Amino acid sequence: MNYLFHIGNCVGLVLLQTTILKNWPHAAYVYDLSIPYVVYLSLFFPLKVSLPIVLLTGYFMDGISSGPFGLYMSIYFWMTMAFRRITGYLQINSISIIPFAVGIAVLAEDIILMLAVLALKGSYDIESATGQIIASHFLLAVITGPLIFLVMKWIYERRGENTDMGPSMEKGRFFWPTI
Amino acid sequence: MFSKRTAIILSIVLVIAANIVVISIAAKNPHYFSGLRGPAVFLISPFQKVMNGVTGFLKEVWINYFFLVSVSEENERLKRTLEEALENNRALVEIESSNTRLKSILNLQQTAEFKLITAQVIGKGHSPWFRSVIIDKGSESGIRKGLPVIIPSGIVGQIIETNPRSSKILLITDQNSAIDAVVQRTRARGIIEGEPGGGFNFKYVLRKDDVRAGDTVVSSGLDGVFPKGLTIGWVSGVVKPVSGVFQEVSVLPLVELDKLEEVSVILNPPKSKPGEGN
Repeated sequence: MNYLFHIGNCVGLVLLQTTILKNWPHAAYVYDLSIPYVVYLSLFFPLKVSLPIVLLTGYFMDGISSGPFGLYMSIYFWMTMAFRRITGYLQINSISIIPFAVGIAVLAEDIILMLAVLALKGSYDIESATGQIIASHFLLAVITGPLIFLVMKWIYERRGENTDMGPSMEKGRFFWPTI
Repeated sequence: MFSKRTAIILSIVLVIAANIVVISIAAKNPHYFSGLRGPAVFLISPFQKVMNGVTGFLKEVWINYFFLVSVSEENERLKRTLEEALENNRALVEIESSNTRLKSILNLQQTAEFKLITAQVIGKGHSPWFRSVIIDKGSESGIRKGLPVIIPSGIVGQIIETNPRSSKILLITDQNSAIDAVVQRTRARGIIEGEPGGGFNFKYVLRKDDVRAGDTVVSSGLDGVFPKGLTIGWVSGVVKPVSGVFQEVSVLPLVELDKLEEVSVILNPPKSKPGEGN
């Protein structure tokens, strides 16, 4: 049942990005909204829960994208692995660190996608709009990342879902970082 | 032989390398993985169709009931009329230009009639890196890979993947899209390539060619994909470097690709041979 709920979330995010957001003319300046979800799952759920959902989200994104198959799956997979590894040293469960975690994840995805596009084109001329897009994605992710996190936290708490982080999700620790 | 730590690092490096190799193969030979990609679109497209219907309905309700119905309808009608008039005008300029050039040689211009199929856009990737849309018609309707997609105001893109009931279109604004094009006024030729901001770079236009801001760029028909004379965009900027063979030309699309709702797929595109375009 929990897996179904997660799958519903991932399909919902893909649909939001491909059917609702498409009506907005400046949608290209909005970052990949699956990223906060991937980061959230990576940080707060065990790998056996997060990994299949993250890969499924990547699979749907790859299906819709015109890029090489497996690109989004790989990005989400390595992102999950990286965040799991980082949490061994640093507790990224505080609202003061989350914006940067989401921002860095979005930045990393953009750089990988940009490199993939350049490799496909066989040209390493970077267009002037690239910088603007990456900057807007990063800033938007830093600003809205925590909001998306709070919404997810609220949803999962209402469902009484057990996360991997246990007591670290207590209010006090949510607002202050712990190492 | 190795410590545990070294073995872990080595295996991670190997997995990353394998991952890069697989993605490179997928990039160079997309057809290898089309079977894997198909189920994703097959699973997601019915939901997209429903969501698209719901958002379309809500949009319609908003436009027709909450705003002034008559004003909205009139505005819509006038916009359509203007679009048609503009397209007719562009087509006439193109025909006139073609006539002048070809009259002396042929005295006859054969116009090919295209077999079109209309499809609804049900999904669109919003990523600026890979620009594509999904339509609700697929191989069951006769659509196949490589077919050109247009709307009355110009070129939309090319079919890159088909499923029985849905297809994926690579938009002309995608960075991997390239169209052989000419400036309508002067016939200066080059290649139109998408750029991440949503515009185009008009590449390989000779420095000596006369290109000015505001010029209309149309397809040359020489790439063997898009029929000749279809509108692509208008020149928004020209930079002529002091040295070099080519000039830098920026083009903006005339088609509002962000607001695509319905598109037409040309089922019998003409096959041009080099030299036919001018």
